[in-house]
Amino acid sequence: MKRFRRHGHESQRDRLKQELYQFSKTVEHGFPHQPSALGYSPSLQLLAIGTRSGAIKLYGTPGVEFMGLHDENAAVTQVHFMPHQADMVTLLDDNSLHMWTLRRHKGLSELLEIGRFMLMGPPGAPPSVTRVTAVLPHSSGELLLLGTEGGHVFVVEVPGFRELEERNISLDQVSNSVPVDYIGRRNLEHVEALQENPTNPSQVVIGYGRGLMVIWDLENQCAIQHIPATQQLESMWWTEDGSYILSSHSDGSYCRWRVGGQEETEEEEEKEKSDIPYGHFPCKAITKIVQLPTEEGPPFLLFSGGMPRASYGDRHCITVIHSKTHVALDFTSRIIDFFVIRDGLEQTGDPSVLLVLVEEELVVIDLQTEGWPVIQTPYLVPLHSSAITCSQHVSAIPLKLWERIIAVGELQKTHYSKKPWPITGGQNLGPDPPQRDLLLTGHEDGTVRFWDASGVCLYPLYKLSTAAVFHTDADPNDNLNQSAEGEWPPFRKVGCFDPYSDDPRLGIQKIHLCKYSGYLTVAGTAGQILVLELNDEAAEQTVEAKVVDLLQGQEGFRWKGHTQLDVREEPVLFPPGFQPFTLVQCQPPAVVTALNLHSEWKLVAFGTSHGFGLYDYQQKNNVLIKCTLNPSDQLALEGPLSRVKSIKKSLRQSFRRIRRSRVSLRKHHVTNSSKLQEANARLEAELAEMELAPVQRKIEARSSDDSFTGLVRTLYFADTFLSDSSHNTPSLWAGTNGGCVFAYMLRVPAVEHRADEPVTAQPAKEIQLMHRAPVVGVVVLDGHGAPLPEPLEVAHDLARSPDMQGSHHLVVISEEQFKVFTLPKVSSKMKLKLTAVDGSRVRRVGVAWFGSNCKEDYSESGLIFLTNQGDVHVVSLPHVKMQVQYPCIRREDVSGIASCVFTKHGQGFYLISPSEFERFSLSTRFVVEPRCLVEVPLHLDSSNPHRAEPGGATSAHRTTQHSEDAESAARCVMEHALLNDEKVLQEIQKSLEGDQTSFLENNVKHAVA
Amino acid sequence: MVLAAGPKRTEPSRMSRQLPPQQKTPIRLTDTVVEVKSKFEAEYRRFGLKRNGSGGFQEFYRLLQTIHHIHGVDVLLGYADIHGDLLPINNDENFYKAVSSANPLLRIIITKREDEPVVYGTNSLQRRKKGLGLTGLRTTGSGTIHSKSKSGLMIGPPQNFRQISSIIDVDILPETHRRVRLHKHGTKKPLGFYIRDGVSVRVTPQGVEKVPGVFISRLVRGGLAESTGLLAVNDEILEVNGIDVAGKSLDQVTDMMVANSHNLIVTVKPANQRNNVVHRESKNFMGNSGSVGSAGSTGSVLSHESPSPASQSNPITASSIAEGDSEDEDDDGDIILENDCPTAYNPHLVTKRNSVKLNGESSCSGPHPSAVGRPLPQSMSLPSSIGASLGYSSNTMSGHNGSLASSSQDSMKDDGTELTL
Repeated sequence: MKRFRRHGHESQRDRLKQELYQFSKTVEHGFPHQPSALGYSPSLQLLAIGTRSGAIKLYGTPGVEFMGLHDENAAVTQVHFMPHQADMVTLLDDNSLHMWTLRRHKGLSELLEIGRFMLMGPPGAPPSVTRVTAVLPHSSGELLLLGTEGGHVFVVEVPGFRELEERNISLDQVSNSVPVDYIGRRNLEHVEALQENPTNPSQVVIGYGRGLMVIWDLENQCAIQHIPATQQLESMWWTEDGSYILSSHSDGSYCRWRVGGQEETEEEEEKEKSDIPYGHFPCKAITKIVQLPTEEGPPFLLFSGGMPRASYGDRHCITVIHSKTHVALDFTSRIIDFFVIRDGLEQTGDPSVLLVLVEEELVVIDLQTEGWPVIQTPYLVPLHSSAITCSQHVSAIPLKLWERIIAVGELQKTHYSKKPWPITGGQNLGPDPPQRDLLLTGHEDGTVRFWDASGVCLYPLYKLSTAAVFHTDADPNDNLNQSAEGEWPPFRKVGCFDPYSDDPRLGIQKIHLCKYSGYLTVAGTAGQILVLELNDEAAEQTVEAKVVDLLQGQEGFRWKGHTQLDVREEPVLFPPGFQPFTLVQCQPPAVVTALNLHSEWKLVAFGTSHGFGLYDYQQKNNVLIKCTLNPSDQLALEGPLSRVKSIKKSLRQSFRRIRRSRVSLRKHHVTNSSKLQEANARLEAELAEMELAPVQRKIEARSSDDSFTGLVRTLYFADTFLSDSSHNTPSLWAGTNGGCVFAYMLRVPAVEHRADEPVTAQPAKEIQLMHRAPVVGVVVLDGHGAPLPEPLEVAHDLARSPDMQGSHHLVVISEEQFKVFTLPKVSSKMKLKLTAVDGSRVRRVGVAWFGSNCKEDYSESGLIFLTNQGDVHVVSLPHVKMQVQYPCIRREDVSGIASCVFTKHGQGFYLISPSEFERFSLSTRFVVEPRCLVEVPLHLDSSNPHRAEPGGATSAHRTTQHSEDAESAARCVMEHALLNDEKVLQEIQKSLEGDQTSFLENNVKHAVA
Repeated sequence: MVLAAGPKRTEPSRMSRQLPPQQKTPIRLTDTVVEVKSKFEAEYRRFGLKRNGSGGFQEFYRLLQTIHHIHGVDVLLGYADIHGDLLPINNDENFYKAVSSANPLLRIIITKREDEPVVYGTNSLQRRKKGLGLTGLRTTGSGTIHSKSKSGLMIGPPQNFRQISSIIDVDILPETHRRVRLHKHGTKKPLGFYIRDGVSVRVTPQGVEKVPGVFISRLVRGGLAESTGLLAVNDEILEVNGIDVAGKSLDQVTDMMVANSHNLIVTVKPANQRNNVVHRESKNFMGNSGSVGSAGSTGSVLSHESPSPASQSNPITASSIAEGDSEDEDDDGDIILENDCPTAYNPHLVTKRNSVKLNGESSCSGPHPSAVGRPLPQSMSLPSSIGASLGYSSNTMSGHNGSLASSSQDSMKDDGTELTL
């Protein structure tokens, strides 16, 4: 009977779980790691970036983002949009071509891969024959010209990837017509570039690696003109009026050639102009050249590379020449590609914006404003301009603070162009973010960056630098951009990616912002804790340092780590924004491992591997210092330097692990056929290797003598019942690595005496967890079982005041289990074991609020946590019952797991690369994900799918005409359905996708036949 | 301390009652005569014993009673074996074992049966289990249970020894597997073993398949794992506290074991399959217990726990789960130090209290004015209810878990290995 009732309860709970929790990875913020290709569609106004890991990302107007991933784990080498269509072709490292499209589904656009293709050469041909080196989407939108390493140009019909064998331009056809005097008719080498005549779609120019360029007539299948350049070809550009071709070469030169070999001009030199812009000495190759006309005045000439090899060969430059202005834009990382956006709807006007994709950022330059300033990008911002060391998320920022942060941030952005963001494709259909959220990232160079994390775009708001408080080795003036007059080449530094830190001690380790009071505290690598206040005006002030000795007289310790930072004695001028007014320096200057701020009581708590302290930032004195160090813990004493030995050991181990994981990766790939023996053989090899160098793990209970047991992992302020159940008092809780929790009762004077009466702290409780696992979190629950609100939250009427009638509970979260204790008398009430059951350990934990997506008024609080296995879990409060579990991060991705932060509303962020945050959501109610629509603009040329074939279609081609008609008919049906019924569309789509593959197969058969 | 007191109180007059000839030439006669040194309370006796003597346990028992002049006193006999472990003598078999293993000296320890204290952490547990098994025969005095259990063959009174390991669930496991429980009650001994990745061979319908597994790679000398003799290098680890480790990484298994280190139950497939527990079909013989071939020679105490009849119907690690649950309460052995009345704070005492480390040697002195009838200002609350009445001995403070319900004297005798004669 009881069991039945319980069962009913369970299923009800299951339903509730479905209403509360739902896991999804929603959007990636930041800059893609290792970009390898750039594409742009002028008609869609979309930007595409391909990466080395096979991802393809599309960006339009802020909020419009798409992402796709190739199944092959190969780098994307080229991205081309089909002219005037929502289709896109990608070329991968493994020589496969992929067709992607933006398809409308349920009112939103989706990025889908609709076809793939691998060029088939004649049987027995070497692979170089079909190795694609150049791709040209023909302006008809139906043909794709593929230049290969063997020098052939294959013509393929899209979408569907049908090889039009009869129209291929073979190397023999071309070389037969090459003038005899062209360097003894040597091998022309691979096809380096393909360009279409902007004025005549039937003409293309084929550029061969050797230097020869051939203008080919697609209709008549013959060469029209030969351009006999003698230097290795790097790129070509056909000017807009169709009368010139520019070629750039590996020796740093570029040439301009007249097109249209009329009889009368044949005598005169076709080579109109040749120039090595940074000449005299040997130069590096010019890898891409673009020339664009302006309505009035001289054209813009842009090229990348070409720097003098010896003196500036390591610079990454794009040169822009317009009239008398000549600038070499100097980037901090390798240039991947660039393009220019032009004015006007059809993008035929003056060049307006230069977009440069470099390895670590996207730089956008306004070419129409004097001085060519940089335009602030609303997305793709390099998060890692200095390495991220920590992060904090603050939900629901009050409007006042938000506006003030934006205002001080604006003052830092005056050097940016006022031009609006030029890429405006698509519509953002997502709802406005329900609240204002801030993500704060701490960086290695001592800066804290404030990001608007409310929506799909992670937008930079404000940057705070703490370095000004300290004397550092670097002179702040020497990194200023001081280009000497008359310097050649005329360099100009652009971009903000600057991975070089002046002093690693400046690194930010912990951040805590109080959103109600505007107080911020940051703590760093050298034991420094700064308390800052938001000030709208610039102020000159001296920051007084208070040194806190956390060792408390423990003798015989020698700190071998870094020294503490030197504080500037003289007053420092701080710009408007967060200005430091007090500084605490821990002694020994070990990295700060825990930090908390209580703005109502005006107290800051901080902890290191040696102990913790409580600082009163109103009276500027120490309230409490507690040394948690175990006297026998040498590792914690000596600082990071003495760990050289163990680093060596761990390096060796990690190499072994990498080697093994490679083996297992390989294993993963081949499992398609159950080759048991093969797997066994591999395992045997693995075993042999393990016997040579076995990875062992010691099984031992934790003891108080372990290293770093005194390291403070968490600090928590609570107004709760510590001594008796009738009087609640302020309290401070600290949890250590050794499984110990210290509780202190605080006496905070009333507001009117706050400035003169001292704050006192008395030890009240000590809990030593039997299992001695590190304590990673402490939470006090009120009488209703809800976590206590944040300081000042109640005062601002933003939270229900906690229930002080019922008994409070203490939740101690260790890496291994969750334990609930009663208060004020601490006795164990409930617990949830994690590690003992499944071997995973808590890495990150946060309190989160979950609202039901069915019942508006129903919500629960829970603990959301991430394990070392990369799984996210939700545990209910106050009963600490496991609710849901989802795999989130690969377990090998240690830095990703370490970087994870949770929001108060069940979302989270973690780094998927040094430069990208993945955003995920566990909540059904709070999901921030891109919802956008891209509509293909009507274009006269592409409005009729039955555009006349460019002639010369052979009989073999005609036989396939029928199937093509069928396909286009299906397409029409689909388009029709698209407008009417989504369900029908889905079905049709499914069947079509089935057809698609069979269609492809047919094509292959045709090609073979 | 006991050792120091012993010789002082030994009266010279009693020395004459010892058997002189054997005592004088003990070493030369080792082949035939065993030198015996016996101790009862603070008194020592030395005498010789024929190694191949025909007398059995009862005879020896009476001999000792005679020598120590303790006729009519019910005593328990124990001896220290070569490993320094205290082992019982209560039947002919272990008496012969004791005599044969004496090298050259046989140390006998005699304890009164009635003052037999509840010494070891395992005891309380054992009793609780037995109490459940015998349908609520819960008694505080252990005598009743003893008289009951005496009806069966008594291998040894575990009450006198710290149990360090046991083989459990013999009846529900395949013979090729062994479920070992390691007790780490307040010992300083490390668990002392290492695990590694390896390849396990499984027989499947498709043929022999090799799957990744976790194995014991090393045993630390003198560690708990080694001293049990139940675990060996290259044993495959199948379960940790009832949870299958298949598909788990080495690090996960490591973390699981460490998290369960206070009460670790590992199910292994021993690399050496010759010493497997053999099922005894006769159910009347101590339930479903098994016997271990040669493991006993290492000097460990093996207790074969028989699951209650009810649990037999549930073959899924029945008794281990049940034990895991009961152990759960012990695992709540968090030490909580509270200041009861911080409002009436004496600043002098505050600093003093701060100096008291959890595992510190110093105990608080002087009653606190406001502590109600309690001699100590700070209350130590231990999760098992016994904690409240606990004294402040340093030994109990450092104790990890389990019952600390021993007086401070007992806790000194606690560790058998510290007793030397």
